[in-house]
Amino acid sequence: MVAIGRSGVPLLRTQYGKSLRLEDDTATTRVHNGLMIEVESLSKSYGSTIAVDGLTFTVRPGVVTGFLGPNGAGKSTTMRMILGLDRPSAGTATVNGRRLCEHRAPLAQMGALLEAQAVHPKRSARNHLRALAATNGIPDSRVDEVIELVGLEEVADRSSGGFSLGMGQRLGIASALLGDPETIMLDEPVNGLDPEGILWIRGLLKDLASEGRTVLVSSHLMTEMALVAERFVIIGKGRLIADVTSVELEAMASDDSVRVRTADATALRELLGTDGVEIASAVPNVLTVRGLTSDAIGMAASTARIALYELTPHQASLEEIFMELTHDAVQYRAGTHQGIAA
Amino acid sequence: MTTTVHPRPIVASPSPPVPAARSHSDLQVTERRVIRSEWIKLRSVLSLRLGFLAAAFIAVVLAGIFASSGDGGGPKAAIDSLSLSLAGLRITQLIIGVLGVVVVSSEYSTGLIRSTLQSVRSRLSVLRAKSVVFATSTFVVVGIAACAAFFVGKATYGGIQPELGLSDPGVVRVLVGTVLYTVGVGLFGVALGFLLRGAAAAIGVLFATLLIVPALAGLLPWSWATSLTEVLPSNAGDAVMTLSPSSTLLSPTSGAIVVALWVVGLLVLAGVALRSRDA
Repeated sequence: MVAIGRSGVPLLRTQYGKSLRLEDDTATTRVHNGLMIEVESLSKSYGSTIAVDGLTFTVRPGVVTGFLGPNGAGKSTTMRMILGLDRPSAGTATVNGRRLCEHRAPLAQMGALLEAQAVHPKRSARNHLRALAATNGIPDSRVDEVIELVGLEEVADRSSGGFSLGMGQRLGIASALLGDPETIMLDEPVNGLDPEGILWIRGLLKDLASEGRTVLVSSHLMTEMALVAERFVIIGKGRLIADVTSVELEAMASDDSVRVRTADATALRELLGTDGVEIASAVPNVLTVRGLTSDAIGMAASTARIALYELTPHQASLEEIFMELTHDAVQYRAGTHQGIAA
Repeated sequence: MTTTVHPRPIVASPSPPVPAARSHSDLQVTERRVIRSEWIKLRSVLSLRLGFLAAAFIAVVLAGIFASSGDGGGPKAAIDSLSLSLAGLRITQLIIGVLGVVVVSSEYSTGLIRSTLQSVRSRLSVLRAKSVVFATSTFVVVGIAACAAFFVGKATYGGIQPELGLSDPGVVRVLVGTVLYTVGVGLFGVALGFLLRGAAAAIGVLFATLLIVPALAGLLPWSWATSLTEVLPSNAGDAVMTLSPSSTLLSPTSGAIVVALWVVGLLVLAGVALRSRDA
């Protein structure tokens, strides 16, 4: 199978050759490197609006991957295309080697939570799960299992219309886990959850990943994602901005600075002020130095016998790095009241 | 016009995949399982069960009321005893049509349709399963209701027209035809639900087609409008449900074929829409 890569060079995609597809059809054993979500040159436009624009990334098993981007970046649209709900304008999205609907039992490959409470309000949680499970031949015993897993035993036979947001979210996660899927994809799962629910979801996501599953979780909050995800796919305006590990993301900070409080700011400024070093001062006797490490500043001050009261390296948080990366892609930003740009 | 510079995405080296092994050998989507799923959905909502019950109940109760106190004079004198007994099924048909819409539109309004579609292999299997489950349920419920209405009507009939029994010519055909036409109206509802997604729009179109359009079509001045009027679903249905159709109606057989064509046509349109549109 040959596809044209971004640079126009043909990519040979040998790992999903015909023989592997056939094997997967007949045998229950799986090809390990096939267990992932692959998005390839994926685009989606609605009329003249481009929601997703040539997106290519791969989500691998074993870790939680955070899918990040500002509101309107195209996260939900991408997820809907992965699930086969929206038809891509171009490109492909595959789950474990093929389109989701081409699998014998889609629920065993992919469990997804797109919106909370996609449930008939007059149907009980148990019947809702039974109906979904029935399509793939998942037994009712598994329905009871997932109800217990998400802690809804007490309310499983009540109509779901009376559920709180948190209970609805748990029901959604129960339905995602019905098929004991290899791949799990959750869209903003912590939205509206209480602190206990958030903790529960964090633990669940990490457990699922540690069992070797592929876990993709979308969020527009880096602070939340930083606690669970080890990899990040960051998009903005439908385009890929970064596909990195958390360590690599931290290394991308361009804004490492050192805060220095000193007895003699003027002397220190003169001492450090060379090419490539940027020094700012908002408060008397406090300097913000960019371009030098705290070690270098401390050593120089000591040599010049300038007393330092404080020497604090400031490393940009993942949140700040995320904000910086997506700055140009933010669709709606609070105005600065400078009039409307032409 | 502005040009935008898109920075090259930063892509990290891949991490080694971790093996996972879970056995899902017995899991598979089949047509029967999707039907089973739709059956669970239909029977697990109280308001749907009550809707079917109301549709049946009203047919039987009205049969008793219409057939009794039928003492000549008035418009009732011209109506045969069979039509009188089955008149209540006109309301049954509207209720069934609405239920057909609702089993689909409620999935769209709640978002459940997206969970449904991502769990199956073919979207059309959902349309087929919903149609099969709804048509079968309607056939059973309305079949019982129509028979009950017939016998209740017979028991209470006091009119001047001769009383018709099952052995009289055309009676069984009208009974079966009425039940099947009701199933057809239910499937209209299902198809309109998939086509229009919203309950208000789908029920509006359903009622307009069944109740208003036939009356208006008769007002058209052109001669060919007569044949147009004949093939409207409600008039074609009347041909099936009337003991001796008047000259403005099709023959019972043609009527049945026209109703069937409407049902199949709308379901095909619904299938095309379901397959091609984003969910």
